[in-house]
Amino acid sequence: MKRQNARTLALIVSILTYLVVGAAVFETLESKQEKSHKRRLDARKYELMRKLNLTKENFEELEAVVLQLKPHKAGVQWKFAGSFYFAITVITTIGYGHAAPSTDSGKVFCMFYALLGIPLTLVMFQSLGERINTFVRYLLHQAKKCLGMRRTEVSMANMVTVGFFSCLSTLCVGAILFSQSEGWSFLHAFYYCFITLTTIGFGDYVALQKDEALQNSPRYVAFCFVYILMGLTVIGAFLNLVVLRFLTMNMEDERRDARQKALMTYNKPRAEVTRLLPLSAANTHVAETKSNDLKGVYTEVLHFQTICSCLWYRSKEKLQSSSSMIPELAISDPYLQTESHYIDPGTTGCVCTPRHCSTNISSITSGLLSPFRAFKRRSSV
Amino acid sequence: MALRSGRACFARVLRRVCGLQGSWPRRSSSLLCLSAHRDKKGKAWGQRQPPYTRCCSAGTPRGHEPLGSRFLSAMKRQNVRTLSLIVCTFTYLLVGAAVFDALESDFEMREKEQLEAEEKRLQGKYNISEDDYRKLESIIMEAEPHRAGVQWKFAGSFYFAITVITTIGYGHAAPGTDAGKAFCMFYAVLGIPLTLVMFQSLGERMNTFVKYLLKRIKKCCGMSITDVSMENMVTVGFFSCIGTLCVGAAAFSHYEDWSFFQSYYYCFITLTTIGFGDFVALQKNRALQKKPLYVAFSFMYILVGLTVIGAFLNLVVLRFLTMNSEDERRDAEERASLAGNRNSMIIHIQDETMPRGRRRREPHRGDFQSVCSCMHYHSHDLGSSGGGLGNLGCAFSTQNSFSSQLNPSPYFHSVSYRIEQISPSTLKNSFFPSPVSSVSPGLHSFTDNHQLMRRRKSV
Repeated sequence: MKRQNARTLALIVSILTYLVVGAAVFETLESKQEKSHKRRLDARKYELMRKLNLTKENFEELEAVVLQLKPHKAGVQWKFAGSFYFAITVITTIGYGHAAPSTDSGKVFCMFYALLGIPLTLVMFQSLGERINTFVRYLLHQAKKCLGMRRTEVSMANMVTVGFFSCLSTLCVGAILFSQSEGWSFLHAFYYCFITLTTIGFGDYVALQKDEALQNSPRYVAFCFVYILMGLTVIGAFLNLVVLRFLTMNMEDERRDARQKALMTYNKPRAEVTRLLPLSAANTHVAETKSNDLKGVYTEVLHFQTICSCLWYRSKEKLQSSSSMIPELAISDPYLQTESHYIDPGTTGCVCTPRHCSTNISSITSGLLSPFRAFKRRSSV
Repeated sequence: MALRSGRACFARVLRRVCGLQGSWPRRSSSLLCLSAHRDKKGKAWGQRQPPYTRCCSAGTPRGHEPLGSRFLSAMKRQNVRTLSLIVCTFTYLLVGAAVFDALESDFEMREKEQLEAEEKRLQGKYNISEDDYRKLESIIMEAEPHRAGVQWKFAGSFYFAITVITTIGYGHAAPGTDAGKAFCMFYAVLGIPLTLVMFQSLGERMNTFVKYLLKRIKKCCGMSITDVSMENMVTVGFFSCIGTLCVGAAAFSHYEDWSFFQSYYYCFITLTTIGFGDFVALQKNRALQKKPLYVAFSFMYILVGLTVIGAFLNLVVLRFLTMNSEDERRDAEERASLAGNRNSMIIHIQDETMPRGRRRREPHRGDFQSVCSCMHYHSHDLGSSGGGLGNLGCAFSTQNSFSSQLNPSPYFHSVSYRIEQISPSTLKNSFFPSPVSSVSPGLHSFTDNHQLMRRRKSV
């Protein structure tokens, strides 16, 4: 099965498993508590109902009003500050729901707003995150230099560690500040920061909902907005570092397969090489004319393999001599490791040693002749 | 001497700070540049400066002009892009806030007044004291999640788990226990990236399948061009998104007793993972316990809908997420090339036919430096077609002097290019419109598959 299909299937299966496992664990953790909590609430409710002499319908009436008033109790939600807060929750897809458009036109605008805003925000956060990663890499590099370490390259592990700890500290800083401002416990504030910065946004804890903060504490409001946006950037940078490459895996494999398929349709390496020759039109024409010219083709392969300024061919004679070796190219790499007969530094002005040339050639030849072999990345010779 | 080295040093610093772009337009995806002896001699290529070697003059500080005035133009593309995105987003937020304010504020005020009046009325009607009312209020608020039924049995937990890892996060049910909150966080840490990757993976598969279907349809319809263009794909993707939303809207408006518009709004908010929670499915009539088929449908709908949206995002947005990284890579290569190794050659071939400006086709890094092939298409033995390549060679013939050690030779039609990855498909895919681009296919494919190359094993 194609690699991409296998990968996709494996991912689907793992997600479904993950969901099932998660559901089971959540059930275990929450179900009992839910029941007991409900029972207690019901008890309190009935007690109060008796005390106030309320019937069920009366209570439901009251309940409806109270629930509808809930967002209003938390303050004015749709003045500019509140609307900005709401706009943030829309385009970052956090979506607390503490305030949701009541009017139909608000809902419609919300949908269009999200349609453009969400991709814009995604791209912005990834862009900024990448810049941050680059800057951090630069800083680490300098730090390593200053510390006099031998190897000053910044490895992926370094970056991931730094990224992870910056995420953690962002969450902690937010937790401390929100626990103070909102009166939550540290764990609840941490939970709030986490749920916000992962854009889940349950809405069970929402900042700026106490004491009319949206209207009365502009600095705290500004802090919250800045915190959310910066926190999302830090998380985005970490995702950019770690996850983004996996999002393009299938696409790259698909491209690779397409190329290999094309290679296969040509059937033989010589066809590849033939392709290289013509620049104007008629590729196919060339392919046909070349189809018999194995020698010429392999010669071309050798042309190709000129590396590091080795000049290969001076004359047809060279071709003749080298062409006799061509059939063996396909067979044995080791052959190529030996001093190539057709490299004559003196006459060709080759600046690299024959061995260099031959090793280069071998890897390239073998690569060309076995078209599916990946070329190794070459460092400068 | 000191002056020269000082200039070279300054050039290096300038390059590092400003990127290697100078103020040329970066339309051309690659520059023909030979790097050898750059630092040794501290001067530009001298002799025959080929028309394309703009980059060779990049390092020389043209900054006798004030740096500040050139700052923006000299700023790296990525920084400019990032700054403009930030500005765009802020503007977008401000505009959105203003519009929402205009749309909702009045209604909110009116509703608040009405409700408060109603509240007072009921308080009076039932003769409830302030204290009692506050108690009543808190009970009602706390009991709110329970109104919709049991939330944490298996079905409800599964629903919750979906809202966590897809980041929808309605909040209709949220973990009450501290242990639940903690587990929720760990669950999300692993689940969210996994889900992201899964949806993108599946979305890409879907796109490929759709592309295949479209191609077959085009063939069957007997159209002359059977290639599936990006516009085709985007159109199909867009309409499938709309279709998914409408199907969901119809279904949920039937089952949940919402209006079509409210259902559509619910589906949209869900599938974009915003998830306000003002409308939540499976909350009426104890559906989670009593209607397993409807429950299964809802879950399937959410997951399939997210896949369709994910496929569309994969098609349209994903490339933009990697823009900065690719530009950064390209810059790093150029830096490496200009930092130069002896005898190393960076061959970038100017591709005038680049359809999409953003796509960079340059090769990567210093590896490039090792590959300088004197492409010699002395193609008498190979047929007349070599003449074409001779033209190609001619375009670069001024590049003959790769290094002083090479003997310039008539055979040295210096078509240099990277041997690393040459496959016929890349070559054949219309990369021959101009002689220049013909040699870049290897670069194209190579560049595009930078990551791929790293991961490739022999097949």
